[in-house]
Amino acid sequence: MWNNDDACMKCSICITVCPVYGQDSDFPGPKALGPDWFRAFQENPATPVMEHVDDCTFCQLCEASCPVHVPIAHLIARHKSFKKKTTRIALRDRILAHPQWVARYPHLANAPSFLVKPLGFGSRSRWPRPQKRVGRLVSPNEPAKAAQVIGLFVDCYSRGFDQDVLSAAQALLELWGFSVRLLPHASHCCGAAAYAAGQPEEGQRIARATYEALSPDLAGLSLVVTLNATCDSTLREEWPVYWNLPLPVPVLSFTEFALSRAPESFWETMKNQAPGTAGTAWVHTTCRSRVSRGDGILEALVQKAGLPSVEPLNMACCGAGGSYAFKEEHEDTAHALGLVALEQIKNPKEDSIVVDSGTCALHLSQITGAAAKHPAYWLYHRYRSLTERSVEIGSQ
Amino acid sequence: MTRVTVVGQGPAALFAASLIREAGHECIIVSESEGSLPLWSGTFDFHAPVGDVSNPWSLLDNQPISLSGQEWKSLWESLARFEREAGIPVPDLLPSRGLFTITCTGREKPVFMVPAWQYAQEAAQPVWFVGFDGLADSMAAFQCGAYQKHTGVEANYCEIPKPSKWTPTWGAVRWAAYVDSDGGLDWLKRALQKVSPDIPPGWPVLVPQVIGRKFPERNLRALQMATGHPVFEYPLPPPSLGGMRIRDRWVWNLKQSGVQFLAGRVTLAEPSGQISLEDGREWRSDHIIVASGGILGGGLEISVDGKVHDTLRKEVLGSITVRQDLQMQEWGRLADDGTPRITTCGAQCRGWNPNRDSNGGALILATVFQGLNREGLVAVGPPGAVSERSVSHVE
Ligand SMILES: Cc1cc2nc3c(=O)[nH]c(=O)nc-3n(C[C@H](O)[C@H](O)[C@H](O)COP(=O)(O)OP(=O)(O)OC[C@H]3O[C@@H](n4cnc5c(N)ncnc54)[C@H](O)[C@@H]3O)c2cc1C
Ligand code: SF4
Ligand code: SF4
Repeated sequence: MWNNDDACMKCSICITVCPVYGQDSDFPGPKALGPDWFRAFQENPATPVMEHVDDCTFCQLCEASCPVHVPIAHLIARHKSFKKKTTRIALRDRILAHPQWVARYPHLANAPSFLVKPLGFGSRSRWPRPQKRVGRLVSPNEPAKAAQVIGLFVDCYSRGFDQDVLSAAQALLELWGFSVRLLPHASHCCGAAAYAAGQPEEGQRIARATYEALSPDLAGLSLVVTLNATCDSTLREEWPVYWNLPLPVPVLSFTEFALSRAPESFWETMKNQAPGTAGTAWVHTTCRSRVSRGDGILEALVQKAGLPSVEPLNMACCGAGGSYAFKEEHEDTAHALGLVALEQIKNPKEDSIVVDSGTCALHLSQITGAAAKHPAYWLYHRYRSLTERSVEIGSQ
Repeated sequence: MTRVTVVGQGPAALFAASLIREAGHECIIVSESEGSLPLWSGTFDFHAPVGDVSNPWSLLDNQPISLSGQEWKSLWESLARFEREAGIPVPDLLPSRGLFTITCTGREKPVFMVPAWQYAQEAAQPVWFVGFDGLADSMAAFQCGAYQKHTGVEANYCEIPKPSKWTPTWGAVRWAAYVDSDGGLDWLKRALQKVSPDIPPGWPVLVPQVIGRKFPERNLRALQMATGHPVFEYPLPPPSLGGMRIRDRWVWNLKQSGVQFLAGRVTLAEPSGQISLEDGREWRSDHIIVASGGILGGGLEISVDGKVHDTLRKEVLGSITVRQDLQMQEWGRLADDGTPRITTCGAQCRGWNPNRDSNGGALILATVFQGLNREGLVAVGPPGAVSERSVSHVE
């Protein structure tokens, strides 16, 4: 199933990049939990599970650093799958591994804390609230002719909570002259949540169901655009490599798509001075997008889009880790990792955070007090304030 | 604007990127994994600590690439400037005769500069070594004995007991995270206060290089206040906090200056400036600098039959007898300085053997200089001084 699973040469580079290892003194670190454990497990399948294996956020930064490409984080996910859990924690983890269920009934997330606390949900991270859709954008120049059809992958978080981001992205793509097909039709998950939580088999099952739901809709598409960095790399990289689910069309993040495909006339408009914009736009490239594509791409987008005073946030993993921060046993680590942002953002009222994942956005805005949103949201609102001509279509 | 793509993110790539940015060009770094910097203390070496090292500048005469004294000076100054800009505490002025740092085995090693957290001296003087019980490679008794034997200077040592939170899994990185915490710093202050009455006045106190990852300066100041002695670190074997701190700050500084750090394996670098990644991404640059190393299985790969492949240019460079110890040694010899088609720098360059000669720092400075010069990207030092082989003194 894996390449290089036994290639570790014990250089310890992975330890130098792991955000949790630097934070939590009980966490054994990527080398011990991944290749060291796996070697022992190969020799003796009764090798005990390490106590803190679940504290790994599955950020994959360790894996990206490894000079010999040991699939460290994926070995750790396997390791996690052997962890015994109490019934209540198993139930909680089963719910969190299926964000597509939550996305179908997002208002359930507002259940009072006395109901969810006994299930092992933390009390520190507030649950998100569903946002309203935004209206279409109209170009002040010529109306766009819909030519190419592209798919927009609707991740669970955007479907359930961030309809504002989803509709903003759709409006921008249409403004740029693309005809947008939302995929998949019904609420489905790419499987990343289950994989991260140490349920690789369940992840594969979820992913296969999504793959099957997506497939009929892929006909005639030139590309699938994603909003969430984790889903992005899961669809493009993990689906074919780990689950044998290769998509027949390329997958690209909204950020990279915008940089390469938005028309010149759009950027011309964005160059103008927007009224009443102040504060710094802090950019956080999530760990999964850093691992998959690299750092500095999101900065390039917001700079090109004319957002004022763009600054990268100096931070490895914000601690959100999908549903990681919602688990009571991870609250402290998740919070401590996110505090790094608070140290840098001094004017939360004026500043904003641009981040390519809804759960990271939620976590960062709770910790810093600054508005944190997906780049599509910021681009949309900037364009709108520059043109003031959009037509509200209201919530759908 | 001229656009330069640098392949790799090891020290050679970072140094190249800083020079490229300073010259006002756009720079993109693309790398498939981490570079070697977090594995070493960040002391840029230019000779093994053996033989006559009384005039470190003269050691630069023995490097595989001939550069003038002015060029070397200018390169070391550039390195110091980039480190300072990144917030790494190195001095503005290079010493005319060099300095010596002390290794964890008690040997003196010539350096031109080390960050202020690390100990360096102009001539051997009495020092007090502190070992930490429970930290591998902190062997104060052995270190102290070796130092006295090699320098003939007085020294002493003590060992402090492990903190209560310690577990057998603690490596240097964990120790450093602990010392960065309030509880950890307090523990260390108290432990050193206990031994400080035994330390003769004025003697520097040398502690292992684990005094924090994020806040080494703050922590060392606190220890200095607590003991009344100047307190410095001595470097430890990999992974090394010195290199990690330098990497963290340097990479961050480059990111802030607009350098992209793309993640991906380069499969093709064309003389036309075309770069292709394994994941299908492609772009064009005005220049490509390949700094893909080799030490960590990067740019060069050895197959089971002993053939050495350049993974980037898909060429077989030669073959070696497959033996663990030989591999490292022969990589440098078999690699080259770049074909007429592509410019390389760093550990991949022919003629260098930093594992044998302990000149990884000189290798990085000289090969990056040579590579960027070859591409016409930067001119280091005063014009006209290029390639005049004479380094005896730079006063
Ligand atoms: C354990 C250790 C200890 C050392 N100690 C010292 C010391 O104390 N003092 C000293 O001066 N020097 C030291 N060195 C440094 C060493 O001697 C070299 O000088 C140094 O490693 C060279 O760095 P580099 O940037 O050329 O290559 P590396 O640091 O090896 O970096 C190579 C980079 O290229 C990337 N790469 C490779 N192939 C590709 C590809 N196809 N596509 C994209 N990216 C690619 C890799 O991912 C990596 O980021 C040490 C080295 C090691 C390994
Ligand atoms: S980085 Fe890779 S080779 Fe190095 S210790 Fe970690 S898993 Fe092993
Ligand atoms: S995936 Fe992230 S948190 Fe988990 S071990 Fe690797 S670096 Fe650490």
